[in-house]
Amino acid sequence: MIKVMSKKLVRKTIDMIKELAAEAEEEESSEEEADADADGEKKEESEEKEDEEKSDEKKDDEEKDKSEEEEEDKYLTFWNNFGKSIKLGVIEDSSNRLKLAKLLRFYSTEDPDKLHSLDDYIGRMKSDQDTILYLPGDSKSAILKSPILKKYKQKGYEVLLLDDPIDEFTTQHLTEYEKRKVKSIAKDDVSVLEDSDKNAKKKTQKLKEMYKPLTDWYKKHLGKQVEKVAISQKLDDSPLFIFTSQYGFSAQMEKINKAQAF
Amino acid sequence: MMAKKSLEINPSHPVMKALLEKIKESDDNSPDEASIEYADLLYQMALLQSGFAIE
Repeated sequence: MIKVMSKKLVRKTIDMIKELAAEAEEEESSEEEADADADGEKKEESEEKEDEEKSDEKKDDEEKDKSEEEEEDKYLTFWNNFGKSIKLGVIEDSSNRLKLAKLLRFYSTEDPDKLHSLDDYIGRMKSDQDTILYLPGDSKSAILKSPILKKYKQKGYEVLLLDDPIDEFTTQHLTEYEKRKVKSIAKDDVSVLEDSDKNAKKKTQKLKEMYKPLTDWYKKHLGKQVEKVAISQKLDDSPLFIFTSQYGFSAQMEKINKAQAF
Repeated sequence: MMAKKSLEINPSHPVMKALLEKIKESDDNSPDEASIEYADLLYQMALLQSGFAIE
């Protein structure tokens, strides 16, 4: 019984936040106050139940009330204060994952100063693009300087910039959104940039052979430090880059892991 | 646990072309000292740029 109630509550809250997000987009503000009040009451009624997620969500509600007072950019305020809870929700609450994913906001290469939703991103995606691309890093400016970003930008692919350490956990749990895979461009299994026609393939094959002495030597020289040395088509004007394998740790995760080691 | 790194080389970059030439020129498939040092430097640079820490 309690379970059912909490489930419903969580759902309600999510819907509410969603509404808030939609309204922020339309720049409207008058109606929701009433909604919020009603929800607030319900909140109190169910306070005894202590499901983790719910308390999370409850927090969300409270701050939603706050954000209502400031009329403009309400959702932005909400996101700045409670975006982390939403991200945590995507990680922990698998039943509501997709709903919560709709509420996620990230910076992207399209306009690095603004937050974009995943739906925005999909709307802008190129027709041949089947993957949502992201690049994790320490800070927005650091990510924007990354050498692998350049080529994606050149070719017109949009990349999400994840500057919060928790973001990568979130995207790892999300893996798929609206039937599109969510992938980091710092991993070596992203093939968006690879040409698929025959000529290009032949050319890369040739390059591979041509560079064999170099790749062999580099591998031998670096030994266990690297898994493999290969020819890349993802680079623009930097000589080399280190990708991580699909299932292993990413650079960012390794850093986090090291910071946690004690 | 460490990340599995895979180094990817940009085949159209002049530095890589030069390095390839160096290796081809050498008899035993290993370039001279200076080139080795430079290759190391490039690798470390790439590590940093990719978000790793240099050990």
